Order: sequence, then structure tokens, then C-alpha cells
Amino acid sequence: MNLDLASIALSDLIEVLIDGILFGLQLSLLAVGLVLIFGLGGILNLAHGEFVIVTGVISAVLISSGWNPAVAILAGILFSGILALALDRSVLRPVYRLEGEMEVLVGLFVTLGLAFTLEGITSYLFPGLYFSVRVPVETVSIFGLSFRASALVSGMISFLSLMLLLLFLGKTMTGKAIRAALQNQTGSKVCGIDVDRMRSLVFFLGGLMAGLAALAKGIASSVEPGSGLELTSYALIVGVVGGVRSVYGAMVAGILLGIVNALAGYLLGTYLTLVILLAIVVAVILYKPSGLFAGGV
Amino acid sequence: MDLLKVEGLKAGYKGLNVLWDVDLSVKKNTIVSIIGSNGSGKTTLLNAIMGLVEISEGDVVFKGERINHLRTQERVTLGLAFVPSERELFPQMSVQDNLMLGAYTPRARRSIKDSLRQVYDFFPVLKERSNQLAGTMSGGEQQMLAIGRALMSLPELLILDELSTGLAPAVTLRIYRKLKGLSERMTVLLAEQNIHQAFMVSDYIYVLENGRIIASGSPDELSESSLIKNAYLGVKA
Repeated sequence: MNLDLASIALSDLIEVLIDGILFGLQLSLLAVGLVLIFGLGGILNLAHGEFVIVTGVISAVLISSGWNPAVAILAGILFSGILALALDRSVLRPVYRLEGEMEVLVGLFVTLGLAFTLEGITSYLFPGLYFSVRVPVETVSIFGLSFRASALVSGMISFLSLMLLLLFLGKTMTGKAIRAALQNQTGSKVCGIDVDRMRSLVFFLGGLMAGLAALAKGIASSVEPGSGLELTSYALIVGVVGGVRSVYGAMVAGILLGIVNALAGYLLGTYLTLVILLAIVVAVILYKPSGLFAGGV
Repeated sequence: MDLLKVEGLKAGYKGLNVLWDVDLSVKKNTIVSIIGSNGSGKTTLLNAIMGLVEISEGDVVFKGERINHLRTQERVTLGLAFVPSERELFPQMSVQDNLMLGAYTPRARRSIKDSLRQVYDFFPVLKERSNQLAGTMSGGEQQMLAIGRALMSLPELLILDELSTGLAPAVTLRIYRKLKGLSERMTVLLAEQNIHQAFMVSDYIYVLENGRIIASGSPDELSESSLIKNAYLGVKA
């Protein structure tokens, strides 16, 4: 490894930084669903990454069957939302009746089982299938700096999706009720809020966010069966660093970790990036277990 | 007419009863208090009325309808509002958002602006701090916010648990005076450890000990009772 910091051009560094932010937005989008579901459902959903894969697979299958690509992708995203809702309404129902560590542990194994099942089904039925959206322009030049158009479009979709989620949670009565239920379930009940309904809604939203993450990832690179657990790992890393119950934390941590990932990849090599991200997680757990940005739901 | 009736109630936590054969009734436009020492079952009784703890026997009847099977949020929709002793606010949300969420039910949402104005008139400090996060307010202000949030649901019966806990006596007195004014258009049921304040505002009082009602009556009647004089008012009969 030959690291010569003096030889790095400022323009290269800016490009890497912006690449990092764009990738970080994808990470944020991936993590917010996980964080919402954990915050309200108390379940660390290890099948979250599989929702991304499911959207990719459904979209790719529908597009290859002749569907309009936009409609196919929308259907794929919606399907992930419905799948997450079905998970909440079926196998997780008995888990919610448990308490404390038992709920967390049983929830972990139920969702891990679901992750393996979905991975098995998608890998077995659609071997070699991948979902990728091609952007007509290869590169875009801004102020003399060159960027991949696909990364920019992907970042923009992630950003818009996150802003819409923030608007929904911050400005609508239902969004506020979700935030209220995340903060205090007894308080919510005495306001007349149906906490069970909010939890189902959060699962649906989490599934939709994973579906949108599939679109963002499909534009930037590709989505293929077999990579769901890796995506779940990224979402977990972002969630823990940001604060595992904080939507705002997941958004900021995703961008920060995207920058770290891009800088580490550029300066040290991509084979070390995941190790560095995991080291950050360990450091955060040791020094600020509640996460760097816990508090703002 | 009885707005609320509790009949032969047994309730508790995880199969262990805390309340035994509790009967009480609350007439419309009155203030009724449940007094008793710490651990006597006051909070459990209010929680049972609100559907927050399991009822093993007996009935809770509101406006003539048995509501045992209804979940807490459905009871709120019917016209019950609850201010828990822990306040249960949303600490990372603004005062205004906390209040708005108090009007979550469809009926309350229709008049949300009027209700907000009335609550701000009732507790002007909440208007001054409408953008402040609830978790950063003082204990007294949080108590006002919890009451304000409950009022936002336009309740027919306002239930308050341990209003005076953790509050300066002057603040408690101010809130009680405001509540007294409310009883002209609303019914109030409160659990209170501070006997003197309960006697000051209530039309009728129940005394709860070890999960059972041991006495009841108007403040005048109870103040003549030797049991109450000895145990609660610090007067030797």
C-alpha cells in the first residue's frame, strides 16, 4: 500500500467526497426502514436487505415480460411494502406478545429465517438475474469535475425519497403519530393513536424505502439475488452508528459513512472499507452506545 | 346520571390482582377523587378504567356502555381522556405537536384550532413555549402540557393520576383551581395522594386501601369520619 497524500489532487478529493455522499444517501435510504421498524416494532429485521432484492427481482422479471419499466419498478417497490406488511401481520404477531430480550432474540431468528428463505427462493428461481437501470448519459461534468451520471441520478432519487419521508413524518398527522409512537407507546394510546396500526404502517413504509433503495442501487450499479444479507449488514452499520431508533440519525450516519467508505476506498483500497466501517461501529458501541445522533426521531 | 360506573372490579398485573371488588360511580359534571396511600391501587384502578391493565372480573361502564373489551385508543374515541402520573409526553416533539396529537381522534380533529386556542388560554405558558421540545420543560410545565393534551381530545371524562406528584404546592394549587373551573362543562376523576387538595376540589371522594374501597362520601361527610381523621387528616378523633 503506497499512500502519498501530497500527490492527491483537490479535484480528485472533491469527486471522491461527492461520490461518498451519493453512496451515503443510498445507505441512508436503506437504513431508515430498518430503524423505523426497530423503533416501533422492537424487531431488528434481518430480512430488510431481502426486501431490496425482492423489488429488484420483481422489477426485472416484469420488465423482461414486456411491462413498461416505470410501472414494473413501481410494482416492485409496492410489492416490497406489501411483503413487509405481511411479515408484520403474520409471523411477527406472536413475537410482539413476548417481552424484553425474548422478543428481540425470537425476532432476530424469525427474520433471519425469512432472510434465508427469501434468498433461497430468489437465488433458486432466478439464477443470474439482475436488476439494473441504465442512464442514457455516461458522465456529467460540473465545474470541471467529472461525475458518473448514474451515481448522480441515484443520489437524487435517494435524497428525494428521504425528503419525502421527512415531510411525511414531520408535517402530516399520521407521520407525527408514527413519531409519537416511536417515542412513547403509552402516551400514544392515551391520545387515541392505534399503536398496532402505526407499527403495520411503519413496516409498509420500511418495505417501500427498501424498494426505493433497490431503485437507487439499480441505477448506480445493480441488484441481484444473494446480496440481501450484505445489504442488511450495511443498514445495521448505519443504524447503529446513527442511533438505532433515530430516523434522522440514520440519514446523517448514512451520508457520513458513505464519505468514509469512499475516502477509505480511494486512499487505502476497497478491500479495507468494510473493515473500517465495522471498526467505526465497534467504536460507537463502546463510546456512545445509543448512537452518534440518537434523540431526533 | 352516572357517566362512569365501575362494578365489582378485579384487576392487576400478570394474573396477580391488585384491585378487589371495587365499585364506584362518577356523576356528570362533578369532580370525584380517589384517595389512598402509596401502593393502595389508585393508579391500577385508573389504568383499568383506561384499558391499560387487564381486568379479571367486573365491569367498566361508560355512558351506559360496557367498555371492558375496548382498547385504550377506542376508549379515548368514546370520550375518556387520561393524564398518567408519568405524564407520558413525547419528549422530542414540540409543545404544539404534543397538543395537536391530543386531538388525534376524528371527532377532536374537526375542532383542533378552537381546542388549541382554548388550551393556550387555559395555560398561557404553553403558548409561549409552543415551539420548545416537551422534554426540556420543567415538571410543572410538563404537567400542564399533559393536561392540555388530554383536553385537546374534547373529553367528557378527564381522568388525572397523581396531579401533585413532583410539583411545587403553589403550581398544584393553580392547576387545581383551573380544574375546578372546568367541571362546569366536564367531568373529572382524579387519583390523589395529597388529601387536602382532593378535599378542596372534589364533590365526592372514594378512599382506597389495599385495593379495596374502604369509605366514600362527600368531603364534608368524610371529614367527620374518625377513620379519615386518623389516617389521612392527621386529626386525632
